Amino acid sequence: MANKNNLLLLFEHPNEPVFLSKGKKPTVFDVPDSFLTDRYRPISNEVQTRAGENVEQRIPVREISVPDLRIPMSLGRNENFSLFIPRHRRIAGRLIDIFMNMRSVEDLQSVAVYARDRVNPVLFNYALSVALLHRPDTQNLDLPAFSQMFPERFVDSQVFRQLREESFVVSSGSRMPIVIPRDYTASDLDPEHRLWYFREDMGINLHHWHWHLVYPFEAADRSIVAKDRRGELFYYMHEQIIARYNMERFSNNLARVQPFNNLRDPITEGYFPKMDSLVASRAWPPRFDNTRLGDLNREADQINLEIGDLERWRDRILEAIHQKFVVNETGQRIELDEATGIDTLGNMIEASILSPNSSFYGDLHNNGHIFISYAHDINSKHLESFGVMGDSSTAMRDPVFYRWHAYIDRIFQEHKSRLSAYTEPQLNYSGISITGIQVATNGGQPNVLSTFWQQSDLNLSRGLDFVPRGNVFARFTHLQHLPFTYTINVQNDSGAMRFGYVRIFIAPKNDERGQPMQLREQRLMMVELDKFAAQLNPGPNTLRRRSTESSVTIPFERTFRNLDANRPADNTPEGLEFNFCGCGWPQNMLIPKGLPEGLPCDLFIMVSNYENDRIDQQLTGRCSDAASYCGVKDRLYPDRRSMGYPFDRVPRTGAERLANFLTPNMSIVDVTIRHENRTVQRQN
Amino acid sequence: MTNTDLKALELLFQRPLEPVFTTRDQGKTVLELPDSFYTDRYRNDADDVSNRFSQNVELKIPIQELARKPNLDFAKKLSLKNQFSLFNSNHQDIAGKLIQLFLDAPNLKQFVSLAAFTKDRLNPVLFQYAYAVAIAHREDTREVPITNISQVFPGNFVEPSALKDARQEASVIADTGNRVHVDIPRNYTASDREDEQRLAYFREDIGVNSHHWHWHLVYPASGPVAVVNKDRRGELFYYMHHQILARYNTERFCNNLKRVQPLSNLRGEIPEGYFPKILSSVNNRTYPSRISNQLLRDVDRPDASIEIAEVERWRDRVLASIDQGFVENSSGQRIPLDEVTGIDILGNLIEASSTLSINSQYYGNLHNQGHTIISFAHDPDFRHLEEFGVMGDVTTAMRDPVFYRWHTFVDNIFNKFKTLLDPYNASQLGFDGVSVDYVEAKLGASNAQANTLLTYWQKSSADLAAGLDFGPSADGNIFASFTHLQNAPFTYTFNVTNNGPKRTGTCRIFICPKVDERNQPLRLEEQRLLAIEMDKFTCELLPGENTIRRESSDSSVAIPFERSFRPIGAAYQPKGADELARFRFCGCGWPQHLLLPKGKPQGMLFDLFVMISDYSQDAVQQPTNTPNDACSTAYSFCGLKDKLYPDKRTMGFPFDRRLPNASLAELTGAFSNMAKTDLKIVFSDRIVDKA
Repeated sequence: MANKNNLLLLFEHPNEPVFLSKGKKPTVFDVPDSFLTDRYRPISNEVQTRAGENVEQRIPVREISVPDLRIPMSLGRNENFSLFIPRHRRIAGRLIDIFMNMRSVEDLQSVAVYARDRVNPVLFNYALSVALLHRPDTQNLDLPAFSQMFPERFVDSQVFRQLREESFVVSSGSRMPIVIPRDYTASDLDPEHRLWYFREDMGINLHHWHWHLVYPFEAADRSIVAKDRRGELFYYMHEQIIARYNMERFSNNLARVQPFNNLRDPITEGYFPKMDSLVASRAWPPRFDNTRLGDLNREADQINLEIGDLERWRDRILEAIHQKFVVNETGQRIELDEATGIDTLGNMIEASILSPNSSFYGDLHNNGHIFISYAHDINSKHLESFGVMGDSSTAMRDPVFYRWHAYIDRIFQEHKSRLSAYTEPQLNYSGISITGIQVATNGGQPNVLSTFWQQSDLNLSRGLDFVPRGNVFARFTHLQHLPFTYTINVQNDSGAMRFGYVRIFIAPKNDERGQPMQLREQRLMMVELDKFAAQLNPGPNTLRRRSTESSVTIPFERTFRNLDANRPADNTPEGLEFNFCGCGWPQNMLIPKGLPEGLPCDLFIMVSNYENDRIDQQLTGRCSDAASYCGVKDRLYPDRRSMGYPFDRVPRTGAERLANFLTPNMSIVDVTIRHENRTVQRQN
Repeated sequence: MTNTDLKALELLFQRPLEPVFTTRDQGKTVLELPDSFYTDRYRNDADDVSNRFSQNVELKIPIQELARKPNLDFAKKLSLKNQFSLFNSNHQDIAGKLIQLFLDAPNLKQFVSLAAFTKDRLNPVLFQYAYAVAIAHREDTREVPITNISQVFPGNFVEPSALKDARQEASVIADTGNRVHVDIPRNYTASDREDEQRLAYFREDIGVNSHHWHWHLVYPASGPVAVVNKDRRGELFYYMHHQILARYNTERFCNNLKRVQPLSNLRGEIPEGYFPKILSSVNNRTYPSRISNQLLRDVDRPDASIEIAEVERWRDRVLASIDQGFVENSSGQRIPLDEVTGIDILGNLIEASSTLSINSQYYGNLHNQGHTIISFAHDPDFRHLEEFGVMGDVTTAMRDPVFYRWHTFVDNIFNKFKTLLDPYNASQLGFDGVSVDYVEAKLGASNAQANTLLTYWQKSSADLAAGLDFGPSADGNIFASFTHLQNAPFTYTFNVTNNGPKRTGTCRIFICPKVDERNQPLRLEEQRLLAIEMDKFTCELLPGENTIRRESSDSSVAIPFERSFRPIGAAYQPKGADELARFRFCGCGWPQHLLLPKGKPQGMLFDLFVMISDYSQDAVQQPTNTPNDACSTAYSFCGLKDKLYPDKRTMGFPFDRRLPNASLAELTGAFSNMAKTDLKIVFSDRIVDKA
């Protein structure tokens, strides 16, 4: 009986042949000769003996008759794999299918071993990850962080030369961490570069990759795609990214990001990623300043689209929004109502296979990524692959990602702004009132949050191919903040025990001109910090909640899941909790950087009626702690309200400012986010 | 090699990025360093790492302590991870100082120590450059073969996946004979949608690009005067690049493209985009690309600062001095641009060599700064922290289509000067009593047709082990095979009648395309600019009829390519001293496999032109006491080491100036010491596997 944990070893050293040793405890797969590629089959004995020297564990691989892999193999080993390209999606769908349909873990291991050296390495990682997440017999497996297997997608390429040197020259005991430089993609001459720590944060990019892993927009098995409210979550997660990004821009004296609303305009912002794709042996192509998009005609990628196509889709989508209905493939009208309209639009704009009419409404968001990512070589004349915008693990590095998503968000807001405003009775929770809020870091000033730089070490050895084994660490710098605690005083005058859903948001008080914000603008910058249920006894209640418990984030350790670290045993509730969830905003980025002199913010808390909001389902062991942006695996989204409630719609008449918006069950407090330009080392 | 010091020097060409204490020579040899040589990173681990790498070695070469540690502050501006550019004047200065330092080392042992000490403290490309220049110019290192640059930094020459494959091959399979040759892909930089791609086999040829580097090794633009100030250096700069363009334009005709357009307007868009895709091992970054229709902009960066207007001013001043017939030196004196030395003055002034330019303050740095502006087009203000593109690096510049556009602009300036000189007259061109009666070029096979030559693709292999740093290939060779143009060897046969006494002549062989891009016959005035030098040699003419035979492989232009790609290691060196000398690679020289242009599948017609000039007018009196040099084979482009250029005529003679006749046929009709014949070059689109 095969041990399913061994499957995880197949993720390591993705560019090496499968029979080379893997794992902390040196392990090899005993690969049947017939599974080896043509290069190694004739010399199987020699290479497998050589690879088997000094190993401690051997894993037998059963020889089975292997399913037809022609479709997955039609993507070259050296090509760049992108989920945004329909052809690649179809190929991935086929491979996921193959992995899903293997009858046992043992058979899955065999086919995975066979496929590993034959299909594109990133495709392999993606398809096997999706399969392991969704197969009943493997779903509690803990997937390794993508950044450990393909570190080159997250780190300055220069670092790899040093990593190689360190592994080669120094024995594994005395190796020193290699420092990943800050500020390597651009200089201060580029104002956009002030946001490097956000755009190039490893945790943020990992989150984005994992989000798309959990919510693929295409698969042969429809149930993998058709998750509860996935269209709405697509809208909401990206809306929150834009809100957070804009708040970071205010933290760097920059104006809100300009939506990329004219596809014929040159893109002012250039971007030079300075990373390599080791799979393709190519650098990620840069985009020069002031590049224009062009009509795409790339036969090999089966992409033949004009900018005009995107403009037509956009016009049809806006027409549907303004008419309040979409037309499905059989010509029926589907209303865009308050409850499900946003979900329909999300699937239609992204677009996923759940789109009601993909031939009419097209594939707007995905193709925006494609057009931008090929701007440097629109017709494949120069045999160039896509830029970072073409890949979900790298797209968020590029300033234009936010310009494009700001525009996509504007389309969603076009719909949201047509819904009737929430009324006071809808918002209120009678008998419940908030009497006081305080936020404080441990021992710090009340209502002042503090950010700084932190350096952390990551073991990258699993992603370094063809170098001597042993740990080798890279040290990178990221934003961090002091953990803090919310103290919320809630008065329950209803005379009975009640349950409340506590919703916490933060937004800047002033706009980029220093003027106080109107709520209709400020609501678009409301960043969700937390959401949790609380029991309210009659009379005064004091709720305490730590920032680390946030429903949007996952802890640092989970983002970078180190497989070697002690972790809960499998099949315990804690073990299950640990699973699934690479998805989740990184804890270190919970709050924006703020300004040295302090960024004035409104911290908003609302207690809504949990009886109206709750979803009745069993949540134990389902890793629900980053549910706000990621949902809960195999469960319904754990909040009946529209995502972003109560700020997802325009405020009612009379509520021009946040202060006028408040009903007794809401309250705000002035919070200042202060940034200290110091760097501390993370204690391991 | 018996002397371990010389061996140590040879080993320092291997694995340029690895610390000096790692094993070299296929894991058989280490250098034993004094403790003070370890860099900060390894000083504390010195015992650990030196033990680690001295296990299982056959030879330990002790390195002497340095009498005095050099001060390397002058090189600080160029960090270990920067790209090094010979077009950049700061980098040139640094290189010049380093060359001086190396040349000043008092004896061989101290030179070895100095090299071992500085290697890990300096930018690796800078080190390899200055080190190779020093080896080539020191008396006591004559014996040390200079490793071909494409083996030291293979990343600059081959598609990067080949390096990945090579690493894989070397780490998975022991060197027991089962390793296969890794294939270096062809046609990877662009598709056929790009017209310029038809010339990729030329632009991206490993031999062409390594020739360019080695030429600059032999002719550094800055450094000790003794090293820089070589005989007719400026003229050779003009001529070598002029010949590259003649060859390039002819290749374009072979591929149904018109002649390359000069980049005479630096304000216009550059339609030719170029995406090099190659990866510099020094900083582990891919060379930046240039998208189609990129505009050039003023460069204002910490490492380079140049306005387009400056280049335009220099151009105008250079052209004004050509029109006026003199240049002014820095003290205001007029120096006439005469027939003999004018071109040499202009070459050093336009390139420009900071050491040799007659007035660099006034005439600036035209050619080099053009490279700079183009190479920074993607990031002129260092906003994006990008290094230069391929045009900034002599090992890579010739890959880019714009190289030829820029050099055509530069060449047009030289040609303008040459055109203002008087046409050659009969006394300069003729050789009384000598007549060339018959000319042919013929393939080796006995049944071959005369004057039909053959080109095809050939697959050859090179050893990449020396350049795979931090790789597992320490235990042996790792071969990569690549495909390049090749020509079948052929023999020239000339029948010459000498109606005078026994005399010596210089035989000059050229080929020229016959028709232009419109398929109209070329006038001699145009054709002379496209004349490709094939060979030049002296010949004894006995009274009466003489038959002169010459093998194509003896060409004075080319060096045999295979020689430069021999595997690293003593096992692959010939044993006899004579053979070893001939085997010695000198690096500079046009690759033999590109001696002939590609031609066309249906055959393309050329004029094969032969002239025998009067050696008494050509001969150069060499200074005495200069040793014979083994690398004299490619002197047409590279000169002779430590000697004068061995032909007194201006380079390119007789095609460098206007000629008294309207067509080549009239010219050969007018002068009996010249002859021409139609030559057909047939390209056969097949790959011959030599690997």
